Amino acid sequence: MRRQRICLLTLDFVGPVRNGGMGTAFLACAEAFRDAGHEVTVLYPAAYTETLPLAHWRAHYAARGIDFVPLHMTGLEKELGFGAWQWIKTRPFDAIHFHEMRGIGHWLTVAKRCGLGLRDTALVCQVHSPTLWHFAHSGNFMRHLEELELDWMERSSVEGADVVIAPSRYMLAEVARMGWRLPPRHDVLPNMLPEGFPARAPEGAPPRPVEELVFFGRLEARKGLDLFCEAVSRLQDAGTPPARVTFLGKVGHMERCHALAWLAEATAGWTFPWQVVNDRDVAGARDYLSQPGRLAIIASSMENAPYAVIECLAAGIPLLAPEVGGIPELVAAEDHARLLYPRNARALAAAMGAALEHGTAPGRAAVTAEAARAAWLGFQGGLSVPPAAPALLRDAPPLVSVCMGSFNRHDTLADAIASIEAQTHPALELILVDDASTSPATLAFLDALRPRFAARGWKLLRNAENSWQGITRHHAVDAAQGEFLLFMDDDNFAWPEEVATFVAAALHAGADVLSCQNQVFHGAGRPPVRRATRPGRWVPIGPAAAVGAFANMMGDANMFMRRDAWDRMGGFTRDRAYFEDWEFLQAASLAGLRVECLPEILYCYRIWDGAQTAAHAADFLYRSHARALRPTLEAMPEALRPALRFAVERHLAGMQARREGYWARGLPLSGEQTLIGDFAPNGAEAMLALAEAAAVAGRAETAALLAEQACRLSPGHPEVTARAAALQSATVQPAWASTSNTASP
Amino acid sequence: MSALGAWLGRGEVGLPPAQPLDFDRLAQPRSPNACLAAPAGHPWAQLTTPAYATPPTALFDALLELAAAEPRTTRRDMPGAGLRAQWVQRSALANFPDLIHAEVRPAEAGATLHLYSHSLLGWSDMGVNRARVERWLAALAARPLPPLAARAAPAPPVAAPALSPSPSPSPLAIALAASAAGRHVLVAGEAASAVPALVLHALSHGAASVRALSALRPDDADGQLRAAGAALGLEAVAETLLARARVGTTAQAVGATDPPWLWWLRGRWDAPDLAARLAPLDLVVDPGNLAAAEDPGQRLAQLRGSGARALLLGCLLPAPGAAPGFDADSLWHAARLDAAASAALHAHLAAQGLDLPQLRLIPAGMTPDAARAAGLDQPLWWFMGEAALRRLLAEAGWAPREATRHGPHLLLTATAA
Repeated sequence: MRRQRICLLTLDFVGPVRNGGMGTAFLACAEAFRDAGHEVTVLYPAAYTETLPLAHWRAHYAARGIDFVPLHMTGLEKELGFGAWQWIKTRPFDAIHFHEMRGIGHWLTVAKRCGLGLRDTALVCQVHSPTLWHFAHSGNFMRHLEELELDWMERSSVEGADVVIAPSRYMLAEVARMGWRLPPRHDVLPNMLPEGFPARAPEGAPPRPVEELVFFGRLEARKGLDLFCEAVSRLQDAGTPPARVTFLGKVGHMERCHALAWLAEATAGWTFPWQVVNDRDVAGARDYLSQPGRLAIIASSMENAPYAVIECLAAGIPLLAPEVGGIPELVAAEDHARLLYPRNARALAAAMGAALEHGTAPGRAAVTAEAARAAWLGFQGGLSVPPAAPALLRDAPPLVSVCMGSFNRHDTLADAIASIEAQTHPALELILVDDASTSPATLAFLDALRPRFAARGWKLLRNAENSWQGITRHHAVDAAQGEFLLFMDDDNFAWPEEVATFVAAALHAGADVLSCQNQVFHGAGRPPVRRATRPGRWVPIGPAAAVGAFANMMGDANMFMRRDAWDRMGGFTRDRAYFEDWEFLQAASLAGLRVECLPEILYCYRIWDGAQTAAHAADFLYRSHARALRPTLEAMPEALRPALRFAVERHLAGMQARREGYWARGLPLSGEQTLIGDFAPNGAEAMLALAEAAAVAGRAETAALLAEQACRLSPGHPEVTARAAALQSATVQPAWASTSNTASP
Repeated sequence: MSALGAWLGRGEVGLPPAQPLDFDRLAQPRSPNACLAAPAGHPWAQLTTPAYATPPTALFDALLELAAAEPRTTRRDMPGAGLRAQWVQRSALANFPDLIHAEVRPAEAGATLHLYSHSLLGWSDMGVNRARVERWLAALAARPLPPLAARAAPAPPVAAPALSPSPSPSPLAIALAASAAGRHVLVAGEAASAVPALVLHALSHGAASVRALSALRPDDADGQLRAAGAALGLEAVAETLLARARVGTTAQAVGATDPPWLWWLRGRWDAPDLAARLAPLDLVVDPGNLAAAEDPGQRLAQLRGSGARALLLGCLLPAPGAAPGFDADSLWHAARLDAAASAALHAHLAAQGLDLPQLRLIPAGMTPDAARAAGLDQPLWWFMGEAALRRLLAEAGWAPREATRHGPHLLLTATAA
C-alpha cells in the first residue's frame, strides 16, 4: 500500500467540538487512515473550542498519531478557508478531505482550478449537512446575507472537488435536486465509527421487554420532540402508556421557548413519570440506552446519516426511527418493517405501542462497521489525482494592458506606477488617462512622466474634461493593445506578482474575468512594506450571483479580464455613481462569462479615512445601488422585478437604519445631537434639549428663544416649564419668563 | 429607562432600579462618557487606585462620608450590597444624571477600591466623570484612615507570579536591557502595569524604537509612563518619548487605526496586517507569563504575527518529576489536574519559593468561573516541561535560543524560524 499524506480540513472535530456528527465522521476517517499507515493531518482553522484550549487537543492527538493543527483563526468561514489555503499551499498532500458545510474548502477548489497549487493533490468533498438543507428542515428562515454566501461556497466546494462523497444516496440525490452540480466522480461511503464504539452488535439477540421510551436527540423541533410527545400522548389516551419516558439529549429550543418550558405544557395529562437527562456525552448516552427495558426513539424530521442510528445499531440498542432522508439506508432491509415508521404521530404511537406490548430486538446495520471501514480504506487506497485540464500556455507571454485613470493625485500615482514597473510579468503596457487634473503639481508630475512612458512605449492620455472612472477607463481601453486588461486605481499599489498571477490563472482556468483579495492600508502615506497574512474586512468570494443582487462579493475595480470579455460586455457603464465594478462583475457572471476570484492578496487598497463622507448622500448611494442592481433586474422576468427590488431595498434600508456598510462611514453624532435626537422632532422636549445645548455652549440668547418655543409647544407642562425656568435663571431673562405664554412676541 | 424621565427627574426619580455592578465583567463603553478607577492590573481602567492599608469597612465608611458631602448627590438604595454602593449625581445646569458605583474589597494589604462614574445621557461628558473620580480619590487620600490591626500571618497571595518589573529591575527587564541596543522593540501590553517600565528600560539602553501593543490601552498611558520614569529615575527618557509619540487621552472612533508612531498602540494580535503596521520590528517582549495564557500555542503564534525577528518571554516551567508523570514533554492544563498532581506540583513549587494558591484552592477541575470565585485574578492554566515549551515555540515558527532559569521560571529568547 502506498503511504499517503492526507489532510482533513474541518471545522468540526471531536475534542474542541462536542457531539458533532460531522466531527465524529472526520475523527473516524483520521483514525482509519492512520491505522492503515497513512500520514494524517487534521487542519482545524478556527480558534473555537467548547472544551479545553486547542493546545491541549494538539497534544492529545499527537499522542495518538494524528497531527492536529489549529490555526486559531476567528472570522467568517471564507476567512478561515483563506487561512487554510495559505497554510496548505506550501505543504504537499496526496489528498485533502473537507466537508461541504460552511464552504470551508471553497478556496482550495478555486486554487486548484486556477493553477495556484494542488496539482498533485486529490480534493475530496464530503457532503454532510448543506446550510440551506439544514435550514429548510429546521424551519429556519435565512436571516443574514452570509448564509447566502455560505450556500454558494458550499456549492462551489462540491462542484470544484475531484471527488464528492456522501454517507447516503439520499444526500447525493438531494443536493442534485437543489441544483448543485456534482463532479463526474461521486459516490456513497457509509459513515465509520471512531474508536471506542462496539464494532459489531451481538447477532440474533432475542426480543426484550420495553418499559421505558427514550427520546434520543437534542430536545428541539428538528429532532422531532413535538412528534414524540404527541405520539406518547396518544398512548396515554389509548390507555397504554409506558412505565416511564426519558428525554436524553441537550435542551434546545422550540418555537417560542426552550424545550424545558415547552415540555411543561406538552406533557400535561401524562400520568407516568418522565425525566430529562441532558448531561451525558456520547459514551454516557450509550450506557444509558444499553440498560434493559429501554427503547431509543429517533423522531427527526430529516436526517442524512445520523450517528444516533448508527450507534444504536452498532451497540445492539433497540430503536425506532423514521423513514426519512438517509435513515433507511442505515438499517438492514429485513429490519425496515420492524424498526422504521412513517414519520407521523399515529405511526410512531403504533410502533411504540407494539414495542411496549411485545418487546423488541435490536436492529441490524445495513453496513457493518468493518465493511464501512474497508470501503473507506479501499476508496482512499485507490484514490488518484484526476488529470488536470491542460493550461492554455503560450510560447510568448501575452501582452497585458494596465488601464489607470488619475485625477489630482500625483503622490499616490507615483507609487502606483512604480508598482507596475516592478511587475514580474514581462509583457505589459500602462495606459494612464489623466481625468483633466487641475493641480499644478499633478500636471507638472505628468509632464515629467512623458519621457519615462515614451521610453517604455506606454501611453499617457488626457480627458478633455473631468469625466469620472467609467468614461476614463473606456478612454484607456480604447488605446490598449493587450490581450488582457488590468484595471487599477491611481492610489492603489500592486504587489510584483499581481499581473503574472492573473495571467497564469486566466490561462489555466480559461477564465474571462478575475478578481482577487486586497490588503487595506490607510491614509496618504506610502504603501505597506510587509504583506498581510489575510485580507481586510472585505473578502470577495467569486461569482455568487444570488449574493451579487444584494452586495458585491465578487471583487473590486482592480480586476483583470480578457479584452474580448470587455468588448462582449461593452465595458463599464458611464454613470456618475459608485459600483461600476459590482455592476460589471454581476453582469458578466449572469451573461455566462467565466469569473474567478483568487484567494491571493495581489495588491494594496488605500482607504482615505473620512474623505468620502460628503459623497455618501442618500440619493447618491441610492443611485449607486440602483446601478449595481441593474443587471440582476434585467435577468429577471418583468413580473418579478418589483419583488427583487423589494427584497434588495428592504435589505439596504435595514443597513441604512443600522448605520452599516457605507452608511457607517459618516462621523458619529455628538453627545448633544444624540440627546436631542432621542426626542420627537416637533416636541417640546427636543426643543428644550436644544436650548440646553445652546446654553452650555454659551449662547444664552438663543437658549432663551428656544426655551420659549418649547414652552409654546407644551404650554403648562410643569416639568418643561420648570426646566425652562431653571435654564432661564442661568441666562438672560426673556419675556416669557415673566409673562404668560401667549404674550411672547 | 425613558431618557426624558431620567433627564427631568430629581435625585433617583426617572432612573432604573439600582443594581450592583460586576466590576470583573465591566466592559469599556464606546462612548467617552465614563471613567473607571481600579487596582493595578485592570485591563482598561483609566485610573489606578492604591492599596489602602485600612480595614475594608473603614474605607467604605470614608467613601460614604465623602459622597454625602458632594452636591446634588443621592445614594441609591441597594439592599444586600455589602461593601458596594451607588450614587446618582446631577449636573448643576442641565440636570444630567451621572451614576457612580463603588466596591471595596478585602485584600492582603487591607482593602482595594473600584470606582466607576458614567453618564446616562449623551455621548461625550467633557471630562466630567474623570474629574469626579479624581476628586473623590483625592478626597479619600486626604482623609485619615485607621491602620490595619496586626495579623498573625499574612494571607497567601492570590495572583500568579509575574515577571513584571519592580523598582529593582526584573530578570525580564535586565534581559531586555541587555539586548535592546539598536533594535526596534515591541512590548506586549496585556500586562499593562509592566509596560511603561519595560519601555523605558529598553529606551535607556539604546533601543532604536520601543512601542507597546495591546487590544486596550489605559487612558492615562502617558501619565503611567511619566510615573514609571519618576520611579526609575528616567524622567528625561519618558519626556523625550512623549514629545514625539504621546498617546493623549482623546478617545478614537470605533474601528479607527492608531497611527504607528504612538508609543502605545491599540490593535488585535491577530490582525492580518499587523506585521505591515509594526515594521520595522526586531524584538517582541511579552511580560506576561506564558503559562497564564489561555492557549500558549495561539499566544506564540500571535507574537510571531508581529513580524519581529526575535522573542523574549518568561514561563513557569516545573522541573521533570515535579508531579507523578510530569516530564519535559508534558503539557498539562489546569482543568485536567487531579488532587494528587496538584499537591505534588504545589510542594515542588513551594520548595522553590513559589506558593501557587490555585493548586490548594482548586486542586482539580479548575475553570475560569471557579478561579474567579476563588479570587484568583490571573491563574496559571498550563504546567509544561521544557521540551513541550520548545515544541510550542517551533510550531509557532520560533527557534528557541538562550534560556535562563529564575527559580521555577524560565526566561528565554527565540528567533524567527
